[in-house]
Amino acid sequence: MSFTTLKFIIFFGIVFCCYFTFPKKYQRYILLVASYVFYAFTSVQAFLMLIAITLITYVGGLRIGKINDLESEYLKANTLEKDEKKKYKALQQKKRKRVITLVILLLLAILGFFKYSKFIFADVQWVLNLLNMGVHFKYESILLPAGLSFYIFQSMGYTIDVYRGMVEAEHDLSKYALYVAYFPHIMQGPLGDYSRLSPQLYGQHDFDRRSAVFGLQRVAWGFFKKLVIANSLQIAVDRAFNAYYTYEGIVWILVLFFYSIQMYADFSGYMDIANGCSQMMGITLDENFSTPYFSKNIAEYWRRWHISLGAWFRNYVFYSLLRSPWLDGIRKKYKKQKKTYLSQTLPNVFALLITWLCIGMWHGAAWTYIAHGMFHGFFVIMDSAMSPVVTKWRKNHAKISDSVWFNGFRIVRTFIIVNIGYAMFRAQSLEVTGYVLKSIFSGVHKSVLGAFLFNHYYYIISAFIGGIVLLLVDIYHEKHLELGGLRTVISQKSAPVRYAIYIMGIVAIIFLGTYGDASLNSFAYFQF
Amino acid sequence: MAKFLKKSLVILLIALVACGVLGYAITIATKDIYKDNYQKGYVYQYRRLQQADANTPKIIVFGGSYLTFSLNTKQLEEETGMPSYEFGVQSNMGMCYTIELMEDYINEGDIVVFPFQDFAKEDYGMDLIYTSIESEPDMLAGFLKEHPSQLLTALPHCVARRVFGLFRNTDDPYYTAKAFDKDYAYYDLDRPEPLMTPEELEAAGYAFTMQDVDPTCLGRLNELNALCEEKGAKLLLTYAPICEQSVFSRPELREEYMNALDEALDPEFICKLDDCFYDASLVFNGNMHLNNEGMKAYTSDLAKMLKPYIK
Repeated sequence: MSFTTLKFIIFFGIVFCCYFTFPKKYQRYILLVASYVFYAFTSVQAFLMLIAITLITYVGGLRIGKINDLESEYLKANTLEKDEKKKYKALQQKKRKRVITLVILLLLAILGFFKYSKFIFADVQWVLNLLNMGVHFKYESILLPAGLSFYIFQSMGYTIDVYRGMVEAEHDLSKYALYVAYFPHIMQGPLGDYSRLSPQLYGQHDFDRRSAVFGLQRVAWGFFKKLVIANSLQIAVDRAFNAYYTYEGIVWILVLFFYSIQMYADFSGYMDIANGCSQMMGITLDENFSTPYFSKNIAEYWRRWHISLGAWFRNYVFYSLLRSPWLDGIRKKYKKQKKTYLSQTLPNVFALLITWLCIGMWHGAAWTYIAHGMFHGFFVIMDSAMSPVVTKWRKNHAKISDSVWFNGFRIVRTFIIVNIGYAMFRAQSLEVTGYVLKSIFSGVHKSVLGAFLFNHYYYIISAFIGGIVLLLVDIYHEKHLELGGLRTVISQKSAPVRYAIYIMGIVAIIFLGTYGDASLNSFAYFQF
Repeated sequence: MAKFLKKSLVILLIALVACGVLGYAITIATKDIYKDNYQKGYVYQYRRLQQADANTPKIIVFGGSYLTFSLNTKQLEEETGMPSYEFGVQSNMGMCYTIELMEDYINEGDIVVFPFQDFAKEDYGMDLIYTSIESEPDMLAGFLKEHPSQLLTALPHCVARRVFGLFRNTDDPYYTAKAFDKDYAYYDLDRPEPLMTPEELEAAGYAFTMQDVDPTCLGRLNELNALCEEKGAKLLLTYAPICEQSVFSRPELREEYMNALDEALDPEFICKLDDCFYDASLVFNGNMHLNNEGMKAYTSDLAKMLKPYIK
């Protein structure tokens, strides 16, 4: 069930009314049932997968929690010598490690099977075809359950947190199941932190008019972004990539630019609807975007784009790698040799390299995604490796580095890099990426550009109007960083002005939006 | 909460009423802004089909824009001896909608031909709805009955397009209603030389894969076949013309593709894929759009294929 369908609007209306009509103690049960109904709409197999993942991580968490409890009880009850205590703790740690390894391996095996088997089989098949082996794998029917990467990562994060002792294992299965399946975030995140999200999900909420109004405004804003901007641009971008061979020249700059706006409007639009729905029910989800296209470098971009994914990889992959004996050994080795720069930089570079490879692979089973991950990783690594030189330069040239034009240049430069990355991300294959990037420098090709604009003028005009509104709102938020600033401004206006704004917003969505075609209902990140 | 819900619903209702009023006002104010485009051509073909004599067996060829460029119904009529009708302008119209409009005019003894196009993905093209709203509301009757939600979602879009259409003064040089008015089809338009070089056509690349074929369209073709059988008509399948140089699927993959289609579709294919390949010198402005000579060749080939089925 996609957010931008009438089915979802009716579904959420019913959930919202039940949520605040039934006694508060039933709120979390209502959410759980609603979440399962919502997800069951995708497919029965996907639903069973969700149940399996929930059970695996629930049992894993319980098992680790039990080891933790027994350990503290034992240590409390017995006075041990330091060595004995260390030995006992090491033994318990070994047990915990065994459980967490098993859970992670299971989750990765499931994810790997559904997400990467097609990719692996296709490559193996390609080699076999080259060798004329006459073997044919039947892998086309493997379907990736919607949102699998999201809820696997979310539940894996919970289990790791329990393992690290950062959260207590959840004993109530219905509570934990709600954390995994909560319908606003199950398909595309945000990957919610258990310690922050669980008290809200399990708590009881009174109806709050302000939250309901603000939430509804945010839902409407999400619809505007998705229907007016993302869907309109999607039509033009899809047509260009589907028949890429008929497009050449600078039209590709326009297509990549459109794609970057489409992706932002699509993904952040989804988040607005998810966060808005949650806010209406008194639940605050983590923010996933913070005007990312105003970033001054790629590292900053990833702190402002898909924030929860970046945080997940930072917490569970990057830091784990940095703490690993292998990288610790490198650090110590160079420290011993008094090569401070290398001892600080090399482990970072290796950890970043692996993390970015993982981020690339997380997005999908294709070389294009891996290339996209490594491309962004390259800039983040460069940023990290060059940091001492850059900091020194900035100190010596403070006037230039603080100037508006220099920062403007950095924003544009970062945006161009992101757009080049999108040539990998969106293309069907790396060959197409090569074609697109090469084609940009093949000349102006006025007729191709003219035909592209002529054939999509309606969508471009709609998206342009929507894009201007989005830009103004983003500039406002960039300047007034406090969240919900614009909504507060609207709420302070008189009732007729407020209602006029709401009505104009709905009319704009209805007239300028591109909808009705089922293929446009899906959000870009559903596939991941 | 009740107050919040009530207020929200009232605002939504006012917004919807505002949309209705605004939409109506815009429609009136921008009447007849599309004077000459391919949608008008589609309407022309539909009207021609409506006027056909129900008691005389006829040939109806329906499909995408490749028909506009590659089929001369007058020549087909001369070579087969049966009145011929073409119902294909632009694939955006949607194959399913074209079938829906055509169904009522299929009669006993008719031969319905669909040159298969593998990007038959479009279901109900909204472009047609815009056209219909322009001046031909009767073309929407069946659509409204079966797909009211699609129509409702298309209406505002159509109105907005009208507003933006005010700034669109350029006529598409190839898809114009004028081109259809002169005779049965598009053939009298002067397009002797290919607009694309053989290298460009080769670079255009074309692969035949079942992944590009929408199962909805396959199901709809089978339904049409059942209807034809019921009415005593015959549905036959061929392939859309394609520039030989742009095909890059290996012969065994093409064979696989044809077999898969044969298996999925009830009506009979009267030719092989390769029979509809044409040299780059016969192509006009795309790898499926033929020029004057190409049109003659394709029409003649089709007439030959149909002859065994003409009583």
